[in-house]
Amino acid sequence: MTLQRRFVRTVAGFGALTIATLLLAPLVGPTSISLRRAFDVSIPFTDNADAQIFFIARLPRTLAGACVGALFASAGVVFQGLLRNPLATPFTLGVSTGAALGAIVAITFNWSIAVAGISAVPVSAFVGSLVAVAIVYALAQARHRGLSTTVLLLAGVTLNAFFSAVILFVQYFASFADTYRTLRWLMGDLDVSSYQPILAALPAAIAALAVFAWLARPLNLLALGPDSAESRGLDVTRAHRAAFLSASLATGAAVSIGGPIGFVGIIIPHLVRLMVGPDHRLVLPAAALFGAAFLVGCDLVARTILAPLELPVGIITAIIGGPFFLWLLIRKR
Amino acid sequence: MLTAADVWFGYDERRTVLKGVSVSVASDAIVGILGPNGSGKTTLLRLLAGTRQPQRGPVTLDGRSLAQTPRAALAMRLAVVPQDTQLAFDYTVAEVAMMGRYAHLGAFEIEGPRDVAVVDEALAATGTLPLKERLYSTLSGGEKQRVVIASALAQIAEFRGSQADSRYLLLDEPTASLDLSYQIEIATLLTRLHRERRAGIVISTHDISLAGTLCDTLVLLRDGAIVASGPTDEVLTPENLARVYDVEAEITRHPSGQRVVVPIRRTGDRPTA
Amino acid sequence: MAAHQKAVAALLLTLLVLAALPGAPPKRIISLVPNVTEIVYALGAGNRMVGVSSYDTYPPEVTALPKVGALLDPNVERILSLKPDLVVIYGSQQDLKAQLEKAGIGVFSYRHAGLQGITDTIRELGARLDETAAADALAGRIERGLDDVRRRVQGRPRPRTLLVFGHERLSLRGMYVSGGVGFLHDMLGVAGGENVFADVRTESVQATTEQIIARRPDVIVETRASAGAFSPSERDAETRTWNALGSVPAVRNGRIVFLFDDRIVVPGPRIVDGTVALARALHPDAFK
Repeated sequence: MTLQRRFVRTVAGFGALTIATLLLAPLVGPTSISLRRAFDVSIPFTDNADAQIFFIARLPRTLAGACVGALFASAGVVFQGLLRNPLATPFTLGVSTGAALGAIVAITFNWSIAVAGISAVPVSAFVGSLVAVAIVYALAQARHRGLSTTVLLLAGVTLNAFFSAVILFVQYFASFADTYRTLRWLMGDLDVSSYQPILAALPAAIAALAVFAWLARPLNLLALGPDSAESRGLDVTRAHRAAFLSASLATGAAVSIGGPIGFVGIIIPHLVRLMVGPDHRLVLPAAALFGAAFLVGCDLVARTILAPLELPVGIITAIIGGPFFLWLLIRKR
Repeated sequence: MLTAADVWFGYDERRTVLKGVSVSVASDAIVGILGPNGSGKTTLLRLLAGTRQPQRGPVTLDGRSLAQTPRAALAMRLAVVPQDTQLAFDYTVAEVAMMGRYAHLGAFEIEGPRDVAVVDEALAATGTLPLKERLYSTLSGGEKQRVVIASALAQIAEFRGSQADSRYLLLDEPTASLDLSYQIEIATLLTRLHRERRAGIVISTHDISLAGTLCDTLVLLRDGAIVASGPTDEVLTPENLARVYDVEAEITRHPSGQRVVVPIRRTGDRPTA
Repeated sequence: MAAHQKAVAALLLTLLVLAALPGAPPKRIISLVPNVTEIVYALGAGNRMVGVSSYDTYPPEVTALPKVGALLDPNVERILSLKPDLVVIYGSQQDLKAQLEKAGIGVFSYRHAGLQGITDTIRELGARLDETAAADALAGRIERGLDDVRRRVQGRPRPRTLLVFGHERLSLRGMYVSGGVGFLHDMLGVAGGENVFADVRTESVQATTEQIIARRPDVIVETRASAGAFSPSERDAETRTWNALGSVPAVRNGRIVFLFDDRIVVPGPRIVDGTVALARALHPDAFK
């Protein structure tokens, strides 16, 4: 089958799954609501609890889940292609630790600035992620030739360790309540209750996804190794740079919206490769779509499984992720 | 003609790997670069392929400097086959071979029927067409190397260039990590490719016998400088081998036609008997 | 028996008798638990305090005392150097308890409980400090004070109340509220309010937007320690943040109350004042 046909089938198949999930998710929740009442325009919005639950609580939450899931999954694919390692995650190179430091500082020091309708914690998280990316990039560039993935990896691991230490230091001065809130932020939370955070992240997300589209073939070539890829005509330095920066941007945006939700960035790329093969021109769109559906699905479970309590979505992804890894380990020869 | 004219190269300020090396490869030649480890063989290959730029001295392809040729244009005429190729993900043979067409396609362009035809032809030329839908990771060492060579052939196959443009295949230690039977496989393939005039071939190798048999021209390197270069018959002498490898050796012609180099002892060692 | 033998026997007998007596009441007290510190002072035993936790602020006398850490970071060296004979610790600090008992130091283990737990702790501590009369008096005053509040709100409709511990600044995310367990929930009951999360059997619940809209609180009360009080402009900004949930009655009717009051959030002797403050927010006309 030609690539075009496989592409259409892949996008149609995963797209259908994603659309179905996005349509279903706002209908389900710990409270039962009447859809007819929710869409009844004759009732003023401020009086219509069903409409408020649907349009303020559930719909933004679903969209946020789709956005974050798509970003984590596709960023995971790109990081794995960049580092030539199927065990790489969007968190390997320190982006999410930077975001975590930003968020924790905002929580502990009780910052109350709001930028463009977004409160301090997401803004601080995003800034933290950019700082982390800048540091890792600068460290990796210090070697004069190109952007070596080995040095990237070392710089990322170093940054992870260092920022984690700073986080512990900040935690030491935090009150008990702040520590609790920090811990919960680290578990991930998609209850955005407004479209603002999604809209604010959209430019970064779209920019990153556009670069991903361009990166599809270069990532295929990078699988041969940087020297082989270079000799086939790929500007490896440019591809490395584009991959690192775009995937980090995507990860930073996603972590700012929902916190560092784990396992999406590694489960989805694996599953998608098992289903459509390793060609990144299929894997990237499929991962984005499947990642969106997966995270919205996990959030659905998180919201309903222990009603009236709502679990953090990161717990559900971890519960699925752990056994998944075990299974991966067992099935590989 | 692919030419390196008096090139100097070092990876950093302290180490100079190549000192004033000149090599000329004709488009119908099969050239072997020989030398001990650390002599600069692989570096010279990289300079000829254009993946590194010399600090001094130009590397030119048909008179045009490699540094000034756009990457894609260069890739369509020079293809490198590394010693072994490890894939990070589980691609099929067809996908690996198709990667050679990267330079021929635009950023979002998808390979067309012509590209498929070129790839099929390259696979056939290396005897790997039946393996097309197999996963690369499941192949034997010899089969893998042949697929990578096919990928390189697909890369330099004429399509947008003119027929007259010279093309080159550069192989770095093509048989080093292969079993004996696969070594013969690759050697036979390279001979056939040379006979079919598909491209000029440059081989960097430590296997003196292989180079002596396969190549019509040899370049002997030691410590980054050329010790001798020219037609194999003239260059492959015990004196030159002693100068390059510090080894007393005998060179004989085997009835099969192969040149065999037998190392006797290190120069300066006492004879044992 | 020779004379010196009689003397030794008398000495041994005396020591034996002394050892069998119950120990004397503690004279040097260290407290890692701020609300128990307040109880010690309220029992009139404040002059016996020699060290407090890093978070102690009341009564003002404690600022002059040495600080020995808190729940997560008790400074054992510092504690031992102050030579206490009673240390008030959290029930979860098992390691610390073992260390202190090995050093022969008395330990009073405090466990967080409901409203009842406050008077229970007062009586227990009173017995330990040999201040049973003061303890009974204090506990009695508290119980009567709470009954008085109950009386004043009796018969009035109980507003559905969301009791908020905290959330992110200028955002409704990370929202923590009181569940149906714990002294704050109990206080809310005494103050004449109905906890909208009473059905969740944990002390603290992370409340999502959907849950808040669905449970329709009539009043939203945000309680914090005094130290974090908002300025008027901050208060306005935080109030406006709730406007996103326009269908919630508390938002519609502007019944969002900020109570930065240690008397509410600290389960100690001032709890009646705290309960009155809470009740006044819910039933202003009953507490002129």
